Amino acid sequence: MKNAVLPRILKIWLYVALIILALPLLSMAVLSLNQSRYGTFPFTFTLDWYATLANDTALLQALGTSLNLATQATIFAVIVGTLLSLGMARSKTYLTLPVNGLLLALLTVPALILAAGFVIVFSWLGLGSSSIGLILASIVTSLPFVVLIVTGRLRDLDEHYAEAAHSLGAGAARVFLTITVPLIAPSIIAGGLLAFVITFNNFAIQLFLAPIGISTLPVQIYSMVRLGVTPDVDALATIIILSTVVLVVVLNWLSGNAAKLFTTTNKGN
Amino acid sequence: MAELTVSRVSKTFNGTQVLQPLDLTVGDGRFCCMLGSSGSGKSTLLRIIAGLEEPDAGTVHVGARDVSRLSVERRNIGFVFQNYALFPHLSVLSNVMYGLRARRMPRSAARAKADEMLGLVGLAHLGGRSPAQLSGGQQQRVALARALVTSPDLLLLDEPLSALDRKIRGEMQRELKRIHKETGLTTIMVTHDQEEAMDLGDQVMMLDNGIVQQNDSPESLYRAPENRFVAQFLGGRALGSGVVRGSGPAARVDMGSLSLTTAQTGLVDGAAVDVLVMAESVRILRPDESAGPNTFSGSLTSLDFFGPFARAEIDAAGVRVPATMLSQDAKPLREGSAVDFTISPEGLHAFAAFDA
Amino acid sequence: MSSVPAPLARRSRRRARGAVGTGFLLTPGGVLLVLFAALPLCALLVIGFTTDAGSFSLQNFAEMLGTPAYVALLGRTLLIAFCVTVLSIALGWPAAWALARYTRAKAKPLILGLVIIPYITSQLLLIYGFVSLIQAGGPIMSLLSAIGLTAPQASIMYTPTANILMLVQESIPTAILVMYSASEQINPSVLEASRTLGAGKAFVFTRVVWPLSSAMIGVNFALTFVQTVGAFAEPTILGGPSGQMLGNTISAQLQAGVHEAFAVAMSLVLLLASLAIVGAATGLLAWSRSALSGVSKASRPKAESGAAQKRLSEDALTAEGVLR
Repeated sequence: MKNAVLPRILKIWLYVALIILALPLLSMAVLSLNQSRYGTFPFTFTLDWYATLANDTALLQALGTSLNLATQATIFAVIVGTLLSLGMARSKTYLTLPVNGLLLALLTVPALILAAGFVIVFSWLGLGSSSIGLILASIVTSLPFVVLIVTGRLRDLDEHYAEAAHSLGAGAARVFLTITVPLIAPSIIAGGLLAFVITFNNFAIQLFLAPIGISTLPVQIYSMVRLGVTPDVDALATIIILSTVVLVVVLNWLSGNAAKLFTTTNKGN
Repeated sequence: MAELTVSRVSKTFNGTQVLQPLDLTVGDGRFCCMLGSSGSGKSTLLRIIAGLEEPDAGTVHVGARDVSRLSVERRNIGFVFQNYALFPHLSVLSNVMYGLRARRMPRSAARAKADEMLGLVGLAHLGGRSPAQLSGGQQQRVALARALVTSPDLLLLDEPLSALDRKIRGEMQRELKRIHKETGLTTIMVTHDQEEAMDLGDQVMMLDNGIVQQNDSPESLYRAPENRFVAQFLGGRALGSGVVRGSGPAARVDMGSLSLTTAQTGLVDGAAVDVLVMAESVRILRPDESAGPNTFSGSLTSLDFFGPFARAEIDAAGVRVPATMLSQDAKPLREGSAVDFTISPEGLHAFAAFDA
Repeated sequence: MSSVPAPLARRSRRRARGAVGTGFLLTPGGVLLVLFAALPLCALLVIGFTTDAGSFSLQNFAEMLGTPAYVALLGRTLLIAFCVTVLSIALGWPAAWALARYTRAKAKPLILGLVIIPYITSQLLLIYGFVSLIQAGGPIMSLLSAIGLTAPQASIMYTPTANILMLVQESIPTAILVMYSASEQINPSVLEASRTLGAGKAFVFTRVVWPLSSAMIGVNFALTFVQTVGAFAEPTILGGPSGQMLGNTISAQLQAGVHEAFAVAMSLVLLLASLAIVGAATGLLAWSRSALSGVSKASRPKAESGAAQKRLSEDALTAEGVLR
């Protein structure tokens, strides 16, 4: 069939694209199991690099710093972001306009330039190169993601649920706790997971704002890549990527379709 | 149980007057239907009665109690939404228990009462399901049970049957009647379906553009529509304009060469009127039938069959008259053939011709 | 009659209570955004336009735009970002189309998952993995030298090519995800309808697919361009001396902490230039849309174009938000 040629080519294109996307990740997984110190072949299986990783204090410390930072920032971003989303959903004033504008600015200004702004403001406020500054910057940069996801859910939420609960005699607090919160909980968790990932990965912010002597994982890898690396980084990368796989599966399970969180879907109107 | 009194309630949305100041009284234990097309203000009025919307002015009383200042949760009402609004994260049983728990009833007592109420609507076995697993009709019953279990003073229904398909709608209509009879609750239902309103309501209030058109029993509404809008909404077809001749019971309406007798009262001699006819009051005479009063001749211009019923149109001296009949009665008829027909005076309505 | 003022009093009281609640919800986020989003952006403007002594001046901008090396670097940065953006969309769109149109519904979540994983993987890990692929003696170079295409110890490391390939690699997931939504939004019956009207493939593409996709191409362009233009880790690690971008200079000066105002001025110029290019690209796409679909903006009913615009901006916001 002549008609079927184009679909077939496009499908092959898709698979090639997937392979290209996976190559750097697979490469690290393979190298983490390869004996060569310099990532060269022939391939000889070993788990030595995972053992080496267990003793690489600099790398593990950086991982700990990153996990710690991402956790703290996520907790605040989720609380503040959820409150902000609820407030914006209720507010019928033009107050939401500047808030939306600032959120959009945070998303469109390159991280490097944003980091420059943070550096200046933190030095004005006396927070220069402190861990509080780093956490604040991380919260602010991950806030838009929480707000977007929770707001999207609130917008799709049928307001009749709350009205029905009120008509059954429930006061505002009860409706909030028994209806609103359970119904938006999946989006809060999804927003939180996304905020975690964003904060964990936010290299530019971390490079400029991390206190002296403290490295987050991306910053640590940055300095290692420039100085020469050992395959225990591959081992760590492999573990992180596997965690990412788990995360995507969890997101999928929470939202019914993880892709929805990452793609714009036609809302049907 | 209580009487509902709405007085001088009005509402404006973004500069549009959705409700003109209006009054409504629904007697204790009565079933009132608010009938109108979308945008007529009927849902807004229901939401104001519920407390979901605040009126610009006016008061709402339940019995002797002024509830105007109370928020929804304090009004002790049962509200059934068009899409039911069953809480998707709660089981059917927990949905029904919600109002009882909100009133601080202990869990075990609430569960027993909810179970009992689910039994009343015939869903005792489905308490553990999630709402998404139920059919539309079952969801509707759960919504009713949830609204009834708290023993509300008023039951408010917002187009409860419109989301159901035809077959189940009839069944639910009977169910609503039964429940109304058993509970004796003062009930107000919003609908755009005149058959539903006529069937269920003791009292039907017709709204258009935020103005009450008529508030009456279904019989009087049908027999004596007060204006052109009501007549048209209930199926009246415009015949054209005519002139009133004579006054009192002997008054007739002349349309060209046709001179019609109508049961309508209050006609003024010489007034120009618009004439409407209910198609079901037009009857085509069999050839052997003799002509009575209000009998005319014409020719059949169209004939369409809809299962057991048939619709025809007759041209009588330039006036196009609609008629409905049983399909079997229409069998001998042919398009273009000459027919005699009679219009019962109760089915003819004439209204002053200024509001075209 | 006392019934008239009573509801009014009730209304304002209820409204006031609601406003207090809303204020409580908005305050923490509002304060954070003002202090750490509005203030930093304003700070950039202030610092960029002042001398070290603190008075207003255009000196920093004059210095940058008067130095040919910086102007050349700016041009190269914009050119690289443009190429990377166009390449990633060109590579991602066909894949996205295949995913939207020719993939079974059950396989879609899996494939989308495979796109999302690199998308949320740390940029540094991606760079590191990419380096391990292309370094001398690594799998790709070994393969190429085994076929006899390159010398055994050759590598594309430290070249502009390596930098561009890396940035494209990072941008493809965005392109697939954005263009996937765009492709999903095109109703298949529209395509079938145009085929039944006798339209050929090329005609369907230029008259139906392109006009319906160009808005999302604009969104994709904006996202990828703005993110790529500020890149500095990739050129630092992979680019070599001739593959540097403005981000390197900015970040080096910021890190060194000397002549901060000059780095900020460069940032502002870069931001402005990229917004201009994004604006031009979006405008060009909109023009192509109206030219090809034969619908001029003026002749379109106002309400429709208003609604379309609103949806587009909402889409853009959602896309901006979740895609990075």
